[in-house]
Amino acid sequence: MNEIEVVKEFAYETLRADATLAGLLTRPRPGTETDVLNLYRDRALTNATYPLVIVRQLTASDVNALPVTARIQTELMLLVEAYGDQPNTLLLRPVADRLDSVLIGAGGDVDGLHVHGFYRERPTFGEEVDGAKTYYRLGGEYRTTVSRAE
Amino acid sequence: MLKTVVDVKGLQKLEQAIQEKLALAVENTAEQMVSEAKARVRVRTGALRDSYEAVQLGPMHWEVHDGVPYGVHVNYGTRHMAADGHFSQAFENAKPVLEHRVARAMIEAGEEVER
Repeated sequence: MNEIEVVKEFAYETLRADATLAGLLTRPRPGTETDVLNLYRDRALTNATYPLVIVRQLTASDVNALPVTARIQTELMLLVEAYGDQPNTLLLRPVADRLDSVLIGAGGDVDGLHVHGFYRERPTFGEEVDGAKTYYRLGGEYRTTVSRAE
Repeated sequence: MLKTVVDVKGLQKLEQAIQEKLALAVENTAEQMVSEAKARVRVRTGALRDSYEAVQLGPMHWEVHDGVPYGVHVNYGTRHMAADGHFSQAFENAKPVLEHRVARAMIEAGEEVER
């Protein structure tokens, strides 16, 4: 079993289910009147509106028993960040705060795995310069362990 | 009268041996991080991969860095590009290795002084 996609999907669905976050991230799709939730895995659509959130996997390490074919658990770190197109992070703060509130401690059984609660290893902040425009990102690196569900 | 005398000898030798072995442990771990980052990074031109280096800043102080401005974006991703996490994973893997090497350095230093 590969735990990476399972855990990323778990985090994504956990965030998607939060009504407060949905209120912060739902915007009309450009050129339409259809609302879209700006929550993505790995990368955002090129025509996405802001603020948006991207859930990514950064690292994964197995903890094995002897013999090494007996996997005890897998440690994974996700990078979960809000991106904004404003010249400051004011609009990103409530999103990043909500990400933190929802993810911390979130866990449960999914696809035969038990996801132990997430905890934040470090907050993150950065900027991305694209031409004349600067995009800010705010979020955190969230670590969890997964093991086979009992 | 009961009397106990404790005579400790070789502390300076032990300190020197520990410093030498710890310095080697840190250096080897830094070099390992460079190798692993190079092996894991997503390659298009090879410029990022080839720019990784470990630089000694002090006796037990090494810095591992890339030499291009976009390395951070390859590791952490951008709005429209997935993260490859090559440097984060290299760092993650180096942590337990360094712990093991430090423990081993202490044991070997003690054994060396005992001989």
